[in-house]
Parts: sequence; C-alpha cells; structure tokens
Amino acid sequence: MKNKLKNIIPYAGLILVFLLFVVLTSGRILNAKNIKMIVEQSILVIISSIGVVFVMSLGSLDFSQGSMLGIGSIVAAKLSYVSIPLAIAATILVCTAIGALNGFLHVRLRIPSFIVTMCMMFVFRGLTSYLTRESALQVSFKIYDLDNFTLKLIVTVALVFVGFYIFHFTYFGRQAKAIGAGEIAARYSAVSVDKMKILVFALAGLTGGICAFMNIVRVGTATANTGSLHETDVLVALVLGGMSVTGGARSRYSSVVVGGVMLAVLANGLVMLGVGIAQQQLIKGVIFMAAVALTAGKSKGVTVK
Amino acid sequence: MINKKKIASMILLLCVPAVVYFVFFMLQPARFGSVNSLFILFQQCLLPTVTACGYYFIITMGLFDFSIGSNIVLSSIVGGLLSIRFGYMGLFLGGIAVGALIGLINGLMFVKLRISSIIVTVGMMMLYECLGLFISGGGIFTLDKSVKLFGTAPYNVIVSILAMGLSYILIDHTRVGVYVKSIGSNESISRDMGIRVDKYKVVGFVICGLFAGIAGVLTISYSSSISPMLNMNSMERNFMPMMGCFVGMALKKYINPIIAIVIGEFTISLLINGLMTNGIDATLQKMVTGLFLLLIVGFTTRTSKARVVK
Amino acid sequence: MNRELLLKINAMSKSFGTTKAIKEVTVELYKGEVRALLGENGSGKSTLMNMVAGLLQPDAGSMELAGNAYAPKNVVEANRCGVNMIVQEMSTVEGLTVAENLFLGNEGEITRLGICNKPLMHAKAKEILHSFGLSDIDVDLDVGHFPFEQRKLIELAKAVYAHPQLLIIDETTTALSQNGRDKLYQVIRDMRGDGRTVIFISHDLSEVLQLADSITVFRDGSYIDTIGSVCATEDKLKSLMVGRELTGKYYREDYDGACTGEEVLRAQGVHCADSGLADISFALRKGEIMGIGGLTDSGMHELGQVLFGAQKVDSGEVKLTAAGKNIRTIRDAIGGGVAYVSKNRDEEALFTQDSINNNISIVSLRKFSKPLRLRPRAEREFTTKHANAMQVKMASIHQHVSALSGGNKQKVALAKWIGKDSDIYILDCPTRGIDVMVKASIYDLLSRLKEQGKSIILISEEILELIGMSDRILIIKNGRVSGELHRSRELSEEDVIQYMI
Repeated sequence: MKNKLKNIIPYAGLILVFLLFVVLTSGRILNAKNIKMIVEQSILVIISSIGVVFVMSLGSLDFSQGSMLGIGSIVAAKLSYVSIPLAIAATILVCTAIGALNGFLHVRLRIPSFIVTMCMMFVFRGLTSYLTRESALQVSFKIYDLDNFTLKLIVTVALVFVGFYIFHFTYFGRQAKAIGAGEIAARYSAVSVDKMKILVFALAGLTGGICAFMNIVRVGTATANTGSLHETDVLVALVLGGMSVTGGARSRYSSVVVGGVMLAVLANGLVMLGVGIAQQQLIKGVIFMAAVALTAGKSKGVTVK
Repeated sequence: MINKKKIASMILLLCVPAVVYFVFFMLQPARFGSVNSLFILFQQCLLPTVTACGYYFIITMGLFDFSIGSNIVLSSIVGGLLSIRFGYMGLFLGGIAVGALIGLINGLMFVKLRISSIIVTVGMMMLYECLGLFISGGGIFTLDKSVKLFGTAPYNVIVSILAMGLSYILIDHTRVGVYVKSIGSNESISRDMGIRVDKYKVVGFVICGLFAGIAGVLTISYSSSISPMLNMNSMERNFMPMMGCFVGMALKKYINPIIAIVIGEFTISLLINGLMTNGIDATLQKMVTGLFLLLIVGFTTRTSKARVVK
Repeated sequence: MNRELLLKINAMSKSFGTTKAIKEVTVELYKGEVRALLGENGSGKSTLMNMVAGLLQPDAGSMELAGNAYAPKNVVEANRCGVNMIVQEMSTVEGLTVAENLFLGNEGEITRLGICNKPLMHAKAKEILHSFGLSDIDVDLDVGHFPFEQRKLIELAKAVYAHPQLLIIDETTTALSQNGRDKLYQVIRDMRGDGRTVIFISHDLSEVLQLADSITVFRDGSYIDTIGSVCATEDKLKSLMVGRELTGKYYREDYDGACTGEEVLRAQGVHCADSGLADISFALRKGEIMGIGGLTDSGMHELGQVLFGAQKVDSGEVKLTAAGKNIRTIRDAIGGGVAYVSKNRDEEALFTQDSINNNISIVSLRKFSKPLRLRPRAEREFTTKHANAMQVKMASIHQHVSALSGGNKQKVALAKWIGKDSDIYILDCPTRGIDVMVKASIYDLLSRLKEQGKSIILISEEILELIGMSDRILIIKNGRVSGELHRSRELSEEDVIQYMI
C-alpha cells in the first residue's frame, strides 16, 4: 500500500505544480504557444534522461551529460556542412564513445562514477572552450530544415517509448536494475556486471548525442557554454520525477517524462511570474532536497557515504 | 628514530616538485627562471591548499562536499560586507563563522536525511549559490581598499601557513583527528569503541566549512572583488582541493597527510602552470585539471575487490 | 575457597529476527575464577559474551556486576565498569598508530581540551607494552605495519592495562602462536592470582582443561551446566556439548549405503592463496549430498565460492565431469547447472529491496522470455509456481523480500535455483538463522532433490546437520582437507570435531 502511494506522488506533484502555476499566472501559462514552449524546453532534458535513468538504476551518477552536449554540438556543427546524416551519425557516435569511456574508467580503475563523469565533464568542457575560442561555431543552414516541432516531438516520443521498452521489457533493463539492487547478488546470478556498466554508460552517451543534435537544430550555434547546466538539470528532473538516487528496484522510468515536464513547467512558470534566476535556482534546490529525502531508499545498517 | 624517517620521507616527496620545476625550467628558463615567478606560483596554490586542508577531514571518512565553492563565495561576501562596519575583525570572523555554519548545516542535513553526501551537498550548493546572490544584492562585490591586507604577501602566506598548521595539529594531535581517521579506516570498530560516529561526521563537515571560510577570506582579499555565480559554476573550486586530498590519503601511511597535501597541491599547480606556459591554451586548463584528477584518483585509490564501487 | 559473586546474568534472552540466539540464560561468576565457555557454533556463547561486553543489548533479562545493576550500552561503558573483551577478529584500527589505538575511545587521561599530549601518550603506551613484554614495538608506527599476532597482543595489552574486574577472551587462542598463547596464559594466571575473573571461549578442549577452574557448557542458546575442571574429562565435555534427543523426522532417515552414481563434479588440487585453500581435491557424485564442515575460518566458506567460479584459483581445477568443462567463472558454473546460495543471505544471495518475483526469475529469464522481449505474465506464472512449490509465506509475488522471515527468504533463494533446474547445489549455511519448523522443510527439500538425482554440497557449521543430512562429510582445517567421514548411524559429533580442531 505504502508503495502504491509513493508511486503516485510524482504524478500528483506534477499536476499540483501545474495547477499552482495556472492559478498564479491567471491562466496565462495555458496559452498554446506557451505550452509548445514548455514541451520544446522539456525535450532536451527528457532525451538525456532516457539514458541517465539507466545509469541511476545502477546506483551511479552521470555528471558528463552537459559536456557531451557541448562536444556533440560542435561535431554536429562542423559536419553539418558535409552532410546532415553524417553529422547525426558522428555526433551520436562521439558521445556514445565518451559514455563508453566513462563506463570503462569506472569499471577498470574502480573510480566512483561521479568522479569519472565529473572529470570527463571538465575535460570536454575545456575542449569545447578551446574549439570555440575564436568564435562560436555556426551550423549549416541545411539544418534548419529539421527544425520542425512536430518532427522533434515525434522523435522524442519514439525515443521515450523505446527507452520504456528497454527498461521494462529487456534483459538489459532488468539486469541494470538488478545491479542497483545488489551488485554481488547480481554477479552471483550470472549478470555480467562489468560489461553491463560499460554498456549503460555508453547508452547514456548515446542519448546524450541525440540530445546534442536536437540542441544544435534548435539553437544553431555551438559555444563554450553549450550545455553547461544540462547534467544538473537532468539529475534534478529525474529526482523530481520520483527516481530514486539509490537505484535498484525502486527505479521509475516514468520519472523521465514526469520530471522533464515538471522541470520545464517550473522554469516556464517562474519566468512568467517574473521570478529572478536566483530565486528560480533556490526553488529548484529546495524541491530537489525535498524530493531526494522522500525517494532515497533507506536500507538499514548500510553505511551512507 | 621515527622522526628521522618522517623527515626523510618529506625530503623525498619534495623531490617531486623539484624535478617538475627543473623540467619546466629547462624548457622555459625565461618564464620559470626567477624566484619571483616561483613565489607567485606558490601564492596561487595557497587557496586550494587551504581548502584541501579542511576538505581532508571529510574525504578521509569517504564523504564529499560539493558545496565548498559556494561556501568560499558566500564566506567572501559576508566577510566583505561585515568588513565595512567592523574592519578586519568583521572580515575574518565573518568569513570563518559563515564557513563553519555552512559546514554545520551540511553535516546535519547529511546525518539526518541519510542520503549520500554527494547529493546532499549538490542540493545545498544550489541554495548557497542563491544566497550569495541575494546577500550581495545581485552584483559584484568589491572589498574596500582599507582591508586588503590579506591579499598580498606576506600576510596571505602567513594566514595560509597558520591554517595549514592548524590542520596539521588537528589531524595528528587532537582527539578529533584520531576519531576522524578511525571512522575513515573502520567505521564499525569505531562505533564499538564508543565513538559517536554521527557526531564526528558533523564535526568533519564543520572543519571543512571552516577552512573554506578561511579560503573565502583569502579569496576576496586577493582578488578584491567577488561575483557570486549561479548554475553550479562554483563546482570548479572543488577540483584542486580534491586532488590534494587524494594525494594526502594515498601517502598518509608515510607522511602526515597535510604535508602531502601541501606538496601535492604545489606540484599540481606547477604542472598545470608549466603546461600552460609551454603552449597549452588557457581554455584547455579545465581539460588538464580534469585529466589530472582522473589520473590521481585512478592511481591512488586501491579499493579491495569485495567493495562495491558505484 | 571463598566464593564471592562477581557477575550474575539473570534470565537473559536475545533474538535475531525469528532466531532465538539466547534463551533465558542464567549464569553466575565468581571473583578470582577462570571460567571457560564451551559450545558449538550457534550455541550462544559468543552472543552472550557480546552482551556482557556491551556490544549487544539483551531483549530480556538483566545483569549484576559486583552487586550493582549492569547494563552497558557500548564497549566503553563496559570498560568503565571494569569489563573488557578481546575478540577473534581484528579490533585495532589501521591508519592510527599503536599509541592511538591503545587509547582509542579512552583518551581522557592523555587529552586536555581535545588536544592529545603526545609525549605523555607515547610514554604511557610504552609503559603498557613494556609491562607486557612487548617493548620492541614502536608506538608511533601505524598499527597496520604489524602482523596479526602482534596486533592481537596490543589489544590484549590494552585490555589488561585497564585493570578489568572481568576479562573476556573470545576464541583468541587459535589465532596465536605458542609465544602469543603463553603471554595470554600468563595474563590469565595473573588475573586469577589477583582475585579478578577471566572468561574464555575456546574450542581447544585440552587447553580448556588446563587453564580453567570451571567450565560452563551451552547448547542451542541455552545454559546446560557448569562443572569444575578438576573432575572433567574431554569426553564428558563433548557429551555435554552434544547430547541431545532428536524427535521426529528431522534429518534423513535412510542409511542404505554409499552413492554410486556417476561423477558430476571434480575438484583437483585446488590452491587459492586469497582464500587460504591448499590442495583441495574431491569428487561429487550424482544424487550425493556432500557435507563440508570445519571451523568458521577454516576456508570452507571460501571453498564454496571457488567451486562456483566466484573466486579464481591459483592452480588446480574445478571440473564439470559430464561436459568436460572447467569452472572458471560464475557463468561457467551457472551454465553448467551449478547453483550457489551464499551464507550472507541478505547481501549476496538475494535482492532484499526487490520483489520475490524478480528474485526468483533473475537466473531463469530465458525460460519464459527472450532477451528483447520480457513477458511479465509468463514470468509471474513461473515465479508463482515455484514460490508456491516452496510454500513461501507471502502476501503476493510482488512483495519485497525484505518483508519476509529468514526461513521464507531462504525458500525464495532456493526457489530461484530450483526454477533454473540446477543439478548441483552449493548451499552455504542454508539453515542459519531459521527456526526449527522451516529447517525441517528445508531438510525435506534436500532429500527430495537427492531423490531426483541432484547433487548437493552442504557447507555448514552445524555438525548435527552435516551428520544428519550428508552421504559424506569432508572436513576442512586450515585450508586443507583434514578428514572424510561416511554416512553411518553410529557417526557422532565427536568423530567430526576431532578433525576440525
């Protein structure tokens, strides 16, 4: 019973937040153009979250999503002049490779995932700054053909469903959750823990790459700051959506959409109310802390670090 | 007999930065030639070193604090504001008090909420950053010239050395130090020995915050102005101290960790600076820093096979 | 002899979950006495001493020390009342110096305002070690530099220095060399001469008879008797430890001869330094239950991991005879039909924070689904079938395993492997922490598996269980096979114990 109640909280939260803003903005938020903007804003976070939710199911963290966005955008921009399909493929490939590297270093060198991905974030952010030091990189105009809201929406929805399927209906998803639930028990149940971890981080790279391309389509340029907040947005969104930081069986795929939308609604609504960026972060922070406190699995006797 | 061994280890360790320096000196005698440039380098690494001296107390227990950067900023601002009315006293005491207070809040949140220290301090960092912005009124805060003493040598060096000394004494000569090391080494035996583990974890956070406060005072004195940043940019200030701490932890069997931290930070600063002057673009500094941390953590941590790494 | 009461334990009880570790134990201890505690693994003697030393709190009952109520909340409180304990495991903290360890938790006398007076601490530490004959230990060195024995002696020095009224020594003698043991014996004799009391737990019966004034025997969590060492003999002690009536069908009833089935598994010359195993060789037959016994740190538990492919061997091999394949990894093992249930049930055998459904299905996914197509309904049918076959008491198949009792958890763990149709079951302490009724049903299950032609390796610290259930018992001592016994009605615990210690 308690579990069922806990399951509803994120959805209830989303509805509550939405209604709150409807009231506070006297309905302005319900403007069709505005709703469209909310959806657009949530797309990037949702796509990255599809990959990161698997990482968090392991009980790990990925702080490199933003820098993947940066590097990916540069690759996409540069190659967009050659051919669009090549740009898409290359962006995804590069980011997947970064993800795989994250996983590899984490597994081989036994470095905690948050350190590995944080270092990668720094490395690639530095690289991004370097590559854009003279000027922001413009993307080829051919890309603007793809800047179609419906197209983006369809792609996002499709990816969400694919991710959902993998999460709930494949061995991959089941094993990722098993590792989060108990790594040793998983190992003793024939789960290739090391291989899985690398694959999961590579998957997060893959969705990061897709996200990077979607971003460049929307924004058109790659700068030193591209994607600079993204990793924390993804983390906050997933937590708000009800995803447990400890992973395992408590992982909820719904957090991908619920959280992404909630974050976008929050951001949009606060801007509409004229709330300053500092206050926005304050509210985000408070809600984040509250959400973490509610969703973290409290296993008895386990040392919390 | 042992003191000789320890001094020998220290001298051996000092060879590392000496060698690094020598290499870069050979490559660019003009830039690295003067004692002055070496001294400037030394001053630059004071800040992360002081921060690391406090951070060590929680890293050694396996905990992390991502709010250090925002702590430094906040301590700078409050110290600076108080210096307007209370001069140096305000600057110093205000900065340190805020730092310690932030540490206390972090520690209590960690212990009460029972969530990983990474998540707790990331969340709190978001709040502290906003607080910084609110308090400073939104813009850059500049320190009055009359209280800029700690920004320049030798005063900044003196304060830093005093802070390092304090950390050295705390870790090796006080009960707090013994307990923190004990908890980091074996938490369950520590508990059985009657050590109040939760209490000392909070104490560790307070010490970490306190030293961040000192770093804050030094920061604003050195740069004379501080602009509170949002969007977790303050996480950058986490890296260098973390590196020093890992070096400290790796060498703690052979030498007092604080000494290892100091030498380590200086060496890393030297390396990064050396790479910069040898043609690596300034924008790539982040890249180098990231790679270094990865290398250092990768080579210094040796977790037993049974332990689960997340 | 003037017998003055020092410690009175009044009807103390302690349970871990549904397991009653200590059942209303009442014991009296006198000043100037050396008391030995005897009993099998699981008899409750260590649990009882942990409560006396402040490591655990009792569920019921009380204690009196020298006439005053005594209920320590932690080790330091117990120390303050004059009760100190030395345990089998390492209790010094690495990363701290010898001196720091000697004063850990007790810095009061060498600290002022939180600052340690290091010269004083070192001087006192040297004094403590000197009075113990350990003058050549440098007190400023990290305690991790010293080998196990020296660290144990440092702990002993620390305990003795506290001048306790009551010193408890829990199974420490086995880990020490003769030199270390002599020091320990001297401490015991000094304390007795001084009118203070020593309790020591040991498996070495001759040592017990030599040192103790009297011996208290425990069995199954209950106090059995206390006898003076003067009139005790090893045989009498063994029978006190062991004698019990078995009512009803509990273990197997059949004694009809050795297993002649084909060989299914063979271990040949297995050496594993990490696990402390050397030259292990045996063959397991189809339909055989092979018991593996020994003391806790004999290496028997690690052997289970090696056989499952969870631990690499330095030399030698573990081979699945029929397929001719070596077991080198867990995948090899599971693929070859080997199952393993670790003794750390909650951490290694089960996902406690996950549903019964997921726990049972994880190894058998291919039976009702494909890698890219999990079928929840087929899965549920599968897991429900097996959970019911094991008679798991659950609210629903989706209930979290953490909500189940120990016995039911074990049933889930077993259901998982039965669902996989495993042929060889390596079970480590399968009935630990489970009450009698469920134990009986597990023994019944093992018998049925045997009838089906499955082979079982039963690793257990419960000697009676091994005797009752095994066709053959292999005893491991110090990492080697020290003896092999065959199933027989006449087989007794004494026969087994003699190979263990």
